[in-house]
Amino acid sequence: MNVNFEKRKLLHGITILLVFLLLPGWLWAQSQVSGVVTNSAGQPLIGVSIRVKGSSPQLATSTGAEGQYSLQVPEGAVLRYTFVGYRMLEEEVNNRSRVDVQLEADDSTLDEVVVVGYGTQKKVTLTGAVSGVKGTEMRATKNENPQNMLAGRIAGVRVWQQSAEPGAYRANFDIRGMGAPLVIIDGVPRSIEDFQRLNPNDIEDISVLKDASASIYGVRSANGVMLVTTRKGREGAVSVGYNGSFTFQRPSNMPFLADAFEAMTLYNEKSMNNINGGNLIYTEADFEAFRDGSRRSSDWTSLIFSDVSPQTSHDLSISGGSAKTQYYIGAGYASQEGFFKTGDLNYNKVNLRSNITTEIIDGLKFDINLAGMADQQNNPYSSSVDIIRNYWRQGMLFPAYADPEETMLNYEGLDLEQNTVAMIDSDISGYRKYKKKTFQSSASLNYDFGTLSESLQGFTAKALISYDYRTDNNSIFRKEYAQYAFDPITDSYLQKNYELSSPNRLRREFYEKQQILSQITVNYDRLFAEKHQVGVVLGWETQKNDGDNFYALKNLAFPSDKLFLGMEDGRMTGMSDALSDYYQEAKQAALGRVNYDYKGRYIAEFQFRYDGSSRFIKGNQWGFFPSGSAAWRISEEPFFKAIEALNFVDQFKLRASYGILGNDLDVNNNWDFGWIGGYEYPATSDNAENGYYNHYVPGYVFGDQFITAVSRKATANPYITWFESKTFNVGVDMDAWNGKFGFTLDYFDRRRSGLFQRRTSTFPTVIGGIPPLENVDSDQHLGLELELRHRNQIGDFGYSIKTIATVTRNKYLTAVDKGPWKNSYDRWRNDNMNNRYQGIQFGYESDGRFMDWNDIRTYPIYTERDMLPGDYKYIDWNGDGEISGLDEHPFAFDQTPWVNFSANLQANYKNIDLSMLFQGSALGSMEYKEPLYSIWGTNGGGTLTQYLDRWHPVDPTADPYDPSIEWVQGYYAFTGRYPRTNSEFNRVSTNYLRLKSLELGYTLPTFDKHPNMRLRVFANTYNLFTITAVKFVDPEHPDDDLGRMYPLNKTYTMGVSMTF
Amino acid sequence: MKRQRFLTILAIAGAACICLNACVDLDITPKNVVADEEVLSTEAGVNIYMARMYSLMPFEDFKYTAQWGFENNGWLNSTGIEGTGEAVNREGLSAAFTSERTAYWNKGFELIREANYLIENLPNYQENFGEELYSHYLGEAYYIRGMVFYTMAKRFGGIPLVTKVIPYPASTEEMEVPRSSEEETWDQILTDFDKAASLMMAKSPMEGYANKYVALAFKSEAMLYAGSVAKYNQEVSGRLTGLGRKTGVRVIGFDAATWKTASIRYFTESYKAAREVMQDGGYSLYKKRWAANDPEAQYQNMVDMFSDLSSPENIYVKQYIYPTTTHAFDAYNLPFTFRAPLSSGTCPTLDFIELFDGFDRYPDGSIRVTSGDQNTSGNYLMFDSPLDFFKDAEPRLRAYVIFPFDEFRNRQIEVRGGIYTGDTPIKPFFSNYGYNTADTRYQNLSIYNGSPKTLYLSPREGGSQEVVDYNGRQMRAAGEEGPFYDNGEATVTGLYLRKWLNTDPKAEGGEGKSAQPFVLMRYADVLLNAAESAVELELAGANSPDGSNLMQTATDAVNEIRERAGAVLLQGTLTSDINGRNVVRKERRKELAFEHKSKWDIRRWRVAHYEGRDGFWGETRDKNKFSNNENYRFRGLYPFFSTKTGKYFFDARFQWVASKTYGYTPLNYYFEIPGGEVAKSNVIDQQPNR
Repeated sequence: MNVNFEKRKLLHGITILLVFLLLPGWLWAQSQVSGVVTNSAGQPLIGVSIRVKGSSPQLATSTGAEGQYSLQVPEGAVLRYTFVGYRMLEEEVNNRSRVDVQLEADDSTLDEVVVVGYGTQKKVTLTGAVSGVKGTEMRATKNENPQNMLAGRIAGVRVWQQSAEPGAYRANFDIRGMGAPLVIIDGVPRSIEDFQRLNPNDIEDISVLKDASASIYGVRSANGVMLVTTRKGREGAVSVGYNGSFTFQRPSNMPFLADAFEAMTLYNEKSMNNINGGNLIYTEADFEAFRDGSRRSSDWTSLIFSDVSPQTSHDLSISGGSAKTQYYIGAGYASQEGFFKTGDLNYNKVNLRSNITTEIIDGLKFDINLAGMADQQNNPYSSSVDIIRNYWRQGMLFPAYADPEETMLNYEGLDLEQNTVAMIDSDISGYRKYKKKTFQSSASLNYDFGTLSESLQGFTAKALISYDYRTDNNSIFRKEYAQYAFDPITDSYLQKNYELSSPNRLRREFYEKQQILSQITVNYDRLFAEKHQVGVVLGWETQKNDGDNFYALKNLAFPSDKLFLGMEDGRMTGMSDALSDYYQEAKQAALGRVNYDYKGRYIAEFQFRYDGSSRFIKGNQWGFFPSGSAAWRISEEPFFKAIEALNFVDQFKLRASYGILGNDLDVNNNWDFGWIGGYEYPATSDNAENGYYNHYVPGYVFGDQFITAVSRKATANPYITWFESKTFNVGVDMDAWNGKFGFTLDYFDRRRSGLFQRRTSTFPTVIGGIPPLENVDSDQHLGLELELRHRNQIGDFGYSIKTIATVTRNKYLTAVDKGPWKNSYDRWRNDNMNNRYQGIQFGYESDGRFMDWNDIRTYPIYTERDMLPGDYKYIDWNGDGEISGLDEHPFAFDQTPWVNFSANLQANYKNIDLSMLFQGSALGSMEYKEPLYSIWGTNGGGTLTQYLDRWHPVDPTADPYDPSIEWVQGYYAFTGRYPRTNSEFNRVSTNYLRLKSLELGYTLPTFDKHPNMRLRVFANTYNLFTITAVKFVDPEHPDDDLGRMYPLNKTYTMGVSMTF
Repeated sequence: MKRQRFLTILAIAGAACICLNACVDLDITPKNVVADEEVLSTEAGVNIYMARMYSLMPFEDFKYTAQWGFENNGWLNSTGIEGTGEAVNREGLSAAFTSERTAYWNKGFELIREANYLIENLPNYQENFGEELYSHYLGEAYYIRGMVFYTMAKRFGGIPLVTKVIPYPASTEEMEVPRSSEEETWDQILTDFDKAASLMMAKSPMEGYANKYVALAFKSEAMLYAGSVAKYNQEVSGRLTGLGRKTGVRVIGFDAATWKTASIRYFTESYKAAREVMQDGGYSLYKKRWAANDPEAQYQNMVDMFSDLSSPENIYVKQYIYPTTTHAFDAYNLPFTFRAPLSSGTCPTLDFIELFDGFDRYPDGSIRVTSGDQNTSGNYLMFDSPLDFFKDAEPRLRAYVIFPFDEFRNRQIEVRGGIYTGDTPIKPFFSNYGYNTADTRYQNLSIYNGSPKTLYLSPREGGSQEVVDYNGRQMRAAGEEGPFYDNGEATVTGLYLRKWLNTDPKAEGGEGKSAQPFVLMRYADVLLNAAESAVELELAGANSPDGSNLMQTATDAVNEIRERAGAVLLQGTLTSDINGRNVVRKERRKELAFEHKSKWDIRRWRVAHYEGRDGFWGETRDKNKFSNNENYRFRGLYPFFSTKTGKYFFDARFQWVASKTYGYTPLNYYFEIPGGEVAKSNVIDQQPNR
């Protein structure tokens, strides 16, 4: 390693030397300057770029391993030292031959540059609502998915992780609640899936266009745009970085099953819960049988779930470059195992990236970005939802294995004979493997016309071509397996194939998708008369996307996962004709932007995109999407500067923007090329691989042959086109006391109109067709965003705090598919979509619990005769003396919370650094469903430990209706008595505050021998603790899949990062 | 320098070219959209169009579940559990046919549009087809439209008669169609079937298509329904008729002035259509394996007939092809030990069995299980094997129902309710077998849970079985096939279904693995239609439409069916009175059981509500024996083993495992129009009695 390192240094030196030797003869050297560049601590800085100001051709070099440099300079030269993270420094040579300088670390945000659509802008002169996060800051959260790393980092960006299932990448993600944003990676539109699979270490920064500033992306901009920039090499010595970490995962709140005795007790209670006289299902003999071992139970929990599940990630990056050529090469590997004991649910991913910039000739730069990703998601044949569902449903009354030696899987007593241990094991029941490979490339030429002539200063042109390719290669293998039951009469084991596992079957799927994009942009950026800064961008972009796929399926002669082993019976091939799988689309656009900035005080910007989409019929394809924005930096006004008392203000800016944005994607995903009528062929339906036995059959048998049918398309609507979104934003930015305090406040209001919908509420049914999609619905999103910043340095102790809060409300304005309403009550009760805010749940409010018999007797509201102590009381909202459906009223919010907040704390003391991210949401709620609502199962199944916390008689066999018995209080009512599902007892607020990420790092002191080597060790936890009223599951875990979705995780990571 | 500049400009220009070349064509037609010209101009294309229409047909077969309606969902499908009394099961799905979760409304109009579209647009392509085929195609459209109208009329009474393609967008008058009167609706159905029969070929151009006789057979069934409704509505208290609130149209029932003539008109059409099929159709009852006086052959013959696609009895069959298009009937209905992973979805009842010949009976006509004159008196009759109880049973019954200990797929179906270890002779277990005590069951008896314990039962299968020592060997209390009192996945009545099940011992039973055809219309239906309409015409004093002897036709039809069934033949000619009518009705109940037909018969006879319930079984039975004034329930037949004698005896009681009752009121003879449809339209009326 060391030797290599030295060698590399040597090579580098030779390269630099060669460059010098080959410098053209027109270099009229006058004097030689050398020196050392150090930081304020006196440590040498490597790779600092040094240029002679104003030289043409350029005279430049960079510092070597000891911070040293030397350069031939003309007379009167001014050297300009630039280094990322440090303030730029200019130094006059003044006939000195040795110029040693110290660079000051730059901790001001004022010079920050932000990536915007088709360019970059200085943060201070931004006119739109654009926020961002640096890759380094983001990486303080450790997660396999960069999306989750964004949680709580950017104002207005809402991330809501739904599950930690390896490779599933289940997370809700939007900007200001507006829906899925357009994702641009390195200037090219790519998908959210591509972003999720990026190597986090390759990310330089992310910026988010939240308002009309997105309009330059035209017909796809309505939900905002996320711009991701990957890392580039910098001029300087080779820098090698390595990050490695190892993580343990635990489920974040996962309900587990109670044991056999507890299950029998609960089932007995459930059965005793009958006012007409209940009976005990399990007698003392049954309890005794488990105690003396004549009946066996299994600890299913430990058979199915592992205590800790590992996860690991490693990445290596090499970057550096000369004045002409810079490179960044990154490689990453990540793997994650699921919570199931077999480890057959797992995921791994490899990333490779190479970003190279080179100046071919003076002023002409060539950039090439190549990125490859390969991942594989391995699942047992059963989905995680089904596994959890089955685990919960079966209970512990029957063992996992028929024999005490645990070699034969049991089926007896299991509902539908389904054994969860078989489900988690790919060797037994088969697998599902999803392999994805992506290749993303872009190459661009950028020419700076300023090198031709002074008059062309600021004029650049860029041509970019990009090609992306993605394949999905899936194998789904169902394997037949046997299960057993012990027959005590014959003292033998009965063997039986598990019905749903047969026959052996393999399905292969292949998908390919590609995108070709080309852009030409011309930029002009120049300062006139020291006060008029003018910027112009004009561009032309074309894009083609297509996707294709097919699948093949065979029943197998042998339980071996090879398609050629298939039988004649049960062969199928086909393809998915879903719009996301099989498509050919094209887009074309002209775009532009003009900025004008007067003395950094008055800033105005106009953007447009003239966008065409092949999704629409000729004549409706093209749309014009303009936007305008302006900012006033009051802090730059002479009068403001003149006020002594306001000197503490670094910057104070007001800004506003308005624009028309568009979207050609259907919100409800039922886009059907509504401008064309006729038929679709072939008609399709679900479950084709099982002969549609439980679905519509898209054809009919004629003459012993299956004839596939057409399906009739909806009535055509030739007028259908994109829908519009009018976005308004107004904001304030302020920074003061040299970064000690800053805030940004934004108000936004977006109104969409022309959303696609069918007029089903008025379309007469007797017509017998499907109403066409029309541009008819509308809605509105509005809200506030606040970001507060504080930074301080006290001696060796430095810290920063950033807090963010966003409140978003969505108001539906028109929904033509709703109704018709029978009366105004019906409308009030059921019309959630017309002129109403989103996310209101109707239901019953709590009035406490019945504490004892007396409470029940004296309760003024009509009660059923079978009430028990511990039962739920509801508020008689309409005061009619009884609880009925008429008492339901708006009482809770929806699952998607309105308010998101976070606080990000960073601190460092000497070599120790600490980062904490608190994150939470408010004004949301969730409902406990099926298994989380009640004991959902038979035969002892569904008895989660949480149900033990209930009201019950002290004597478990007592008749609960005997008024003399003594009760124990609990969270739930007596077993078998459940609250109304839509009541405060069952729909709970998901307000939470959690420590999303906590990272403690220690950077080892540098070795004298290798002053550039930096070694940091760290420990990180993710989702360490959560304050919430939600019990038993994670507050972010949605009630989708009836609560059976794979849980979120808590992780504990140890890692190291190293650069040299 | 010059060269560099030149290179630069060249490079930029090159890049520009790439971009301009990439200028894309935005006019891209989606790849899977086809137009009329492609679909309607060739035989292959029309075949695809027909496949669409037939894929939407409201056929009540293996994928139809009465309680859910036409949801194309075969889940837990079974037959005869719709409160018809033929069968019950543990599921909530076993309920009286009072509504369908998904009302047949939207899907009906979708198919009507397809039919009307073909009628209006096929003429544009007439020259592409031979004359006969062209008119057959049009005939199919009328037939399909008639079938949809019929399917809706059975459920709702008067319906919107959409006989042309309605444009959209258009004026409200053009787009809205109110419900017609029930009489107009049945007249339209008659017109459509007649038009179809006149246009269609005598033989289907392709298997799976209809033909002239398919149309006539369904016409006779539809007209029998219409005639019955017109007539028997009058007998329901308060007469089942009324005017729509929005339109004033008589949307259900018949005018007092016209019901009688309408009824005769429909019975006449039913008779005529059935007779035409009988005389010219070339169909006959399936008797390939049949032999006179050979019960085994007669039984086997009737097992085979439902899977034999070459049966001369088949008039219209819906086919399945494994693995392309399948159902799951076996998966849900096989006996318990074949479960895959469900089972026992159709458990025939004792009440159903009582319709058949070949059993000893008490004076009140119910099946005898004790030596007394009713099942609370005397001692249980003892049998060496449970099968002995059924030794004289009609072969047809054995083809429909698996008796305890009979063979199925080479396996003996061991059905045993429990084991009795007490002394013999054995007195009946219960002192009261009445409706109101039905919830007291074997597990509540003191001989089971008291001491001394002489009755052994099993809550569940396998290790949960109670075990009894019998002559030194261990014997499970319940049979391998149940019944189990805490597991309704085995039989709940002591009986299993045989009809429709795949009898191949090697066949797999799982979901999506069955491909038996469903016979939607067979010759026996037509014979029974002829017989019933003949009796009804005779009862109404109408003339024979074709001069044939009505009662003779009816008698011959019933006897033809009985002979094939191995049942006792009628002595003499049927009488033209209620008794004669009931003989025909009872025969229909037996022959067409488990074919999704009985639930309609019960409806059109108006015998499901309390006042009419004496006629529920087609014959007259005292309703108070199986119902109270609200609900009714059905019985099972449970074999028990006596260790003292080594013999079996039977207990007959209300279904043991699940407590299931069925309710029906006159309101339910017409289903509710979906509320949203009434609210949405200014012209669609709700039923006036709702």
